[in-house]
Amino acid sequence: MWHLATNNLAGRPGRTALLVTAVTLATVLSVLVAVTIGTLQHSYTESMKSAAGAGDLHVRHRSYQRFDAKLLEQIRTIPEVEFAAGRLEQRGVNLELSRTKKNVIVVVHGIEPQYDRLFFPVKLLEGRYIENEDEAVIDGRVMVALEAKVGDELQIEWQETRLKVVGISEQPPLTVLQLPGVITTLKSAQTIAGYPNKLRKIEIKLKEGGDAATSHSAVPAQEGGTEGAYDARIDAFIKQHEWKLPRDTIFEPPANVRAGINRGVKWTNLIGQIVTLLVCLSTAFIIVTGLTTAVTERTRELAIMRCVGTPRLHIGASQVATGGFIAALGAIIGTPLGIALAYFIYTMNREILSSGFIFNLPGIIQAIIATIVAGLLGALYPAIMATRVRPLEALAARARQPRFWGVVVCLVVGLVCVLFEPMTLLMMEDAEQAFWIYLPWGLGATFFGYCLICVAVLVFLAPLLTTVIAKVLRIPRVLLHETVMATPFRHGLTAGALMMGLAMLVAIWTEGGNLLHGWFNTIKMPDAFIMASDGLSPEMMKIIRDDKNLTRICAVRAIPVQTRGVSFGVRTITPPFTLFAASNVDQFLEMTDIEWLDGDKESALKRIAQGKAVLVGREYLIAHGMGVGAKITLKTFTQGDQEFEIAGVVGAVGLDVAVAHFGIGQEYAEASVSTVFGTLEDGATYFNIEKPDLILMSLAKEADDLATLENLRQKLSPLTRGELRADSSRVIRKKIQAISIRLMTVASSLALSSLLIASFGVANLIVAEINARRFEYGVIRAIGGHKGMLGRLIAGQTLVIALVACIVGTALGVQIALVGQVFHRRLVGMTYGWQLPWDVVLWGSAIVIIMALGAAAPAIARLMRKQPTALLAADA
Amino acid sequence: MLALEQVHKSYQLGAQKVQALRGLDLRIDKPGFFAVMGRSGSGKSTFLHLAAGLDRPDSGRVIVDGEDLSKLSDAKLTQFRRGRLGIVFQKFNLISTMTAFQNAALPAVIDGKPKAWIDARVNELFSALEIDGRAQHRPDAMSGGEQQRVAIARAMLFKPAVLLADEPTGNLDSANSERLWKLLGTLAQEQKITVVMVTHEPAAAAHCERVFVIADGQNKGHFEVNGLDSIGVASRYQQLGG
Repeated sequence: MWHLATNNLAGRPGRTALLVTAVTLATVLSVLVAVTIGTLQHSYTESMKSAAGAGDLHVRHRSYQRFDAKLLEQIRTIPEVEFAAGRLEQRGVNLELSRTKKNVIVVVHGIEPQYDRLFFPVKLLEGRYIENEDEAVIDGRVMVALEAKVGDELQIEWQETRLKVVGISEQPPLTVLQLPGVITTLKSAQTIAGYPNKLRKIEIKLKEGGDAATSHSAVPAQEGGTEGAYDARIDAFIKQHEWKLPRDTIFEPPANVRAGINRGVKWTNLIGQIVTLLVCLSTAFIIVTGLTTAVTERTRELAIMRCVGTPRLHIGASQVATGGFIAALGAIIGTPLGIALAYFIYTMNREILSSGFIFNLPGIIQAIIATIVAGLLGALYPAIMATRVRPLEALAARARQPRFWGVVVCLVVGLVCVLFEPMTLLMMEDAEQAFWIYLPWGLGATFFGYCLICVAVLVFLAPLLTTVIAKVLRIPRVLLHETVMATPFRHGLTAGALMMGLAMLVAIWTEGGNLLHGWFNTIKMPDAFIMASDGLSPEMMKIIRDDKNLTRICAVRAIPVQTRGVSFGVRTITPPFTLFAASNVDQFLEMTDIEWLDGDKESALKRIAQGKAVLVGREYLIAHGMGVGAKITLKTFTQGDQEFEIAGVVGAVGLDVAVAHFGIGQEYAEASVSTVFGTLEDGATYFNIEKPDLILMSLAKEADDLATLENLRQKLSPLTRGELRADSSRVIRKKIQAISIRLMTVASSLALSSLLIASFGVANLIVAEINARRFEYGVIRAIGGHKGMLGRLIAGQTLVIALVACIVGTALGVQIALVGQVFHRRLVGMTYGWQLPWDVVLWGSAIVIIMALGAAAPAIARLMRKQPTALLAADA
Repeated sequence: MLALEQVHKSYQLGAQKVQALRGLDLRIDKPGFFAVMGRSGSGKSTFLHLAAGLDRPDSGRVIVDGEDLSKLSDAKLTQFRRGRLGIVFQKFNLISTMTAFQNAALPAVIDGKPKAWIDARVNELFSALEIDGRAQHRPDAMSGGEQQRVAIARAMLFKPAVLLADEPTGNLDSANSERLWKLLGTLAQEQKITVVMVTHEPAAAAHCERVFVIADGQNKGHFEVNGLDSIGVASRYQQLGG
């Protein structure tokens, strides 16, 4: 059996090399994604952990606001507490160094030096840790930005406070996501922030002993944590002492942080698994067509083997071994290349991935196993074919007409697979369940089904395609048609492998483009926003109101709030939070020109004025059918779970976009995709909202947005110690569009890689076809066919495959995008228009055609160089 | 009609250089049915390839129907083969995925002839060769003899001056072989063309009017058949050193 397998491989080294190259590229892609994801996850996890600290648990405000520092002393009196340390963070502090005349915006971490290093170890590159008031340790980014060194004195803008640099620390992981940081004493930070008696967090270390055994529980003690193991000792502590905390503060165990980390990890794992699945499907199809072609070519050899007594099992097993060997060899060569490429990407992005390069062995092993399994599965059908070779028939070696029923089977099975996902969506009420079936079964079945459908499409369209192509290339139509129709399965499945890349391109740019243009760009945002992390004082409000370039303003305070029984997105990945936007609702409605989906302004305002009523975003109506009169339960900060009546359902105003853009309440990445709009009174009563931190603004027609905002920034900066940002909706839209397009471009690179892999399948098919029909091509040359005509014939054959791939690939891309739209509607409540990006379809199709022809070109050139006698001698 | 003058041709087979023809001189000046006989490795297939313009000699001249093939470009040679030569191979003559009609019509399709012309000419040939009932059949549904007749029809499509046949009955039984030899002889006579058949079978050569003997890459001479049977042909062939 091994002898047969090695003979299979060594007998046609060129074609073996093509197949191995295709599998190698597939492995490179899988390993690259696995390792890059692993590195990214590690940096993300380290970043989250570094932000979370090493304490057993901590105390924070429910909406991440400041709270009274007196609580720290109270915590320290609890017997089980070994250490407790207060922290205050102040973002947006403008630091200046007069020596270099440079400045930088930083986040100031106010800590208690004697305790804090236990919770947040700091790696010092130079100098020492802080010991006294008005001392500071700056991180590497601050050092670079200010060109600072140990001993320098830093000045806070608009303040008299000076900080002396005593040490320089390492940059924390994923630095690009954070402001540069400065560590100083708690007292100094309170002075800088202007809040002498406030904290943002209390880190707690419990004493050892007591009920110290670790156990695992599925139900966390505190809200927000959805899963994970956590210490029962911590849980017991929380249960025992949480009543002592003010209602607007909570104990937060590490489980909550881990839940946040797990959610991020889950998303990236999903992406990795999808990529691996698609790459493996592509690999399997390439091996199926490659080995099937080889079996057909070697029919006489196989017949002779059967004649001399080789058992069917040996012949079949040799095929499986061949497929496995090709896959294994591809995996062996591809794995180090994939790792090397991932390392290259890491070195180009060290600043972002600052926690180091991660080997991600489990991911690599998964990629290798998936490749080998794909190879073995791909070899199954050729193995079955090989075992069914009947000696006498095969020795006659006549071309057989492909059986029509085989094409019908491909069509029927293909349609069943393709319709699997739409039927699932139609029949399943629970959109989340449908989502988890979609990944991987639905998506896998869809790709597989379309690959099979390629065979039927090829047969159906062959008359038309060959007529047109023959005319364009000036070749006999009958020759082209018969060449293609001689092996419709091989041609069809090769088209199937080729179409995957185009399908991914079409899906990415259709769904991405529709989200961008059909949803995001239709959001009626106010002209501009101002955000002040410390809130807007009456003085600041007056300056804004008096600005002649503004026609209308509305002050808002938006905080993430937990919902009960209502969530958006995939429950196991997206936490159940919504954005509560408190404002003068009347003013808000006036300035936003909002769209009403249920209810009307007059009755909504009337009901809202009575209290405990909200307007909700359209996603509530679309995803959960909640309209006027329905009740939504929010976990308030002061009075536990409270029901709020829905007074109206309104369209998007981009508030969640602005909140995300300014990073409001994003400490643990609990992003909300939904919004409820309530009154300032309800905000104060239930969520301790004191003052707004976001201003929505309408600009006068003749006003220049950038100049107006810059003017306001300059006037307001001296009046706040926190971060102050002002951006126009034009700028915000531009930024988000740029990020979206960048993401889509990165995703497109995966699609193009898939195309490249598949083009090796095309090359393999063309080489096999030429080899199988060498004598016939010799006869054609002998009876007066030009070598150019032969070349154009093969090119025409390749074009047929490529065009079928373009047609079916576009259809598949459209289906994936449509399914994506359905999930967006049912899971997240997003609806948007639908448009096919014809430019992407055309460009993508052009790339498919060029790659296919490029793959076939070397074989075509070799054929054209051969003399007729060389082709005729192939029979010998 | 057909002349090879001092033709030399060698091939590289692995590390070895094989001299297939060593100054071959062979001339046929009139229409008729001729045989070229020789053992395996004598150079007769090389002779046919050169005569058909499928290959070029190392030196010497190959003149077919007044045209010096060695002076023609690849494109002109291709055109020449299509319009003025006919070739019939021993086996796998036909494109396996095309019908008999499509196979026979192929040179005309490549040449861009109108459909009406193609239909008329192919049907005429099929009728003459008694295979009109097989026009829509693929090669795998036809006997060896029928396939060879289709190949002859294709070769005769443009009424060539020379028809070359390389062991055309090598895969046929004796009855079909006999029929094919007679057919070739009739074609030569009725169509006034030169039919040259390369063969190692005395029985085949017995149907020809003249037999050329090639051995060791050289023309060892020729003899007129003049009613000789296969034994007689074999004897004369051996006398000439075949």
